[in-house]
Amino acid sequence: MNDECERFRERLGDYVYGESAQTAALDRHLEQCSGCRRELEATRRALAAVDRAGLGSAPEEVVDEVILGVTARLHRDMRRVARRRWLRAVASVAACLLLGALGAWFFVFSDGKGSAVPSNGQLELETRAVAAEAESVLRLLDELDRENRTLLQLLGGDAVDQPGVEPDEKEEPQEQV
Amino acid sequence: MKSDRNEDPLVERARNGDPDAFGELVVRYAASVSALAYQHVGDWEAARDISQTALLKAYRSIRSLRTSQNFRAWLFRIAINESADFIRLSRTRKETRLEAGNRAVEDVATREKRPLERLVAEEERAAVVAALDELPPRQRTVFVLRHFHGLSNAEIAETLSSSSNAVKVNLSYALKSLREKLAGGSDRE
Repeated sequence: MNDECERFRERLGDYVYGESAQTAALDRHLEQCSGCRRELEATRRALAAVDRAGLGSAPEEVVDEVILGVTARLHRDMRRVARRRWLRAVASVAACLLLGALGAWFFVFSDGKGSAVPSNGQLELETRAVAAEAESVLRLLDELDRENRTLLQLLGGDAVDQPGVEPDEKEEPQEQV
Repeated sequence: MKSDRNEDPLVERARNGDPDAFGELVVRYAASVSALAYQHVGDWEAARDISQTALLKAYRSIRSLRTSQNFRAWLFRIAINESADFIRLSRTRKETRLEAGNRAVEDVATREKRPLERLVAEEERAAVVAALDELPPRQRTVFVLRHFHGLSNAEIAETLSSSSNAVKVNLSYALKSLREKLAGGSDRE
């Protein structure tokens, strides 16, 4: 076996499978070298035996099982993803509703002024307003009281001098014998 | 093979998360992936499980497939790795492969009235399975991809993240070994 034989055998795979870029040169070598011809024939016999063994393709039932198995898993995954998306959507809607409710609460209790917790200044102002209202209510009560006394005087009662005492309680009716 | 590049709209759709597109790829590649797994492990039941696992792994990681990558090469690599894991992990691997390889011999013992040609064919088949089984893993993978799946040296190199030259050398050794076992030896001039 010379250098050319060695080169041929290195390229035997490419030659057999038709991927050699030097087919013409290898053909020329084959014409002159019976050893390499025998080698090529032995390789082709071995590959023919491999082909006859029928290992090249999968039986239909195996392929069907693979397709069914994988697609069933894909569908399960898709359902899981769809369920997760649905839950996420529900959670988003719930979060929006909750935020809306919080916003409404905030608006109502802050009286539209921007803060539900009043500052010290606001508290003072509100206290003063409440106090003013209380004073006006007291004034109104005083006026009512004065009008009440005037009315009693006009009716000729003494109750005017004894405020707070009901006329019925002051003079108990005497028992008739 | 060029048609399988990722400019293939089906692969692109699958990459973008379309499960229907991936389903179509499963239908397209189930046969070749199953055969590839069988050619490595020598058992159809194991090949079916390996194929399913490989295809599901591909589905879950398809976003990592680069646009410059070849889908078939990428998928085949997953299947080859799964097959290698199966062989490594299976303590009964030897038995499994022998079972597959010697099925013909078992049949001879149980069915006496078998035509002679069939008997010869089954013995030859067992010899082929044994010869493939005895190849070193890398040589077997290179031979399987070249002979059964018609991949070029460059495509095999891409699938195995190897060089074309390394593929050539592995193929050359694999053919030498098969020649010696299946065609009555090599010329030793």
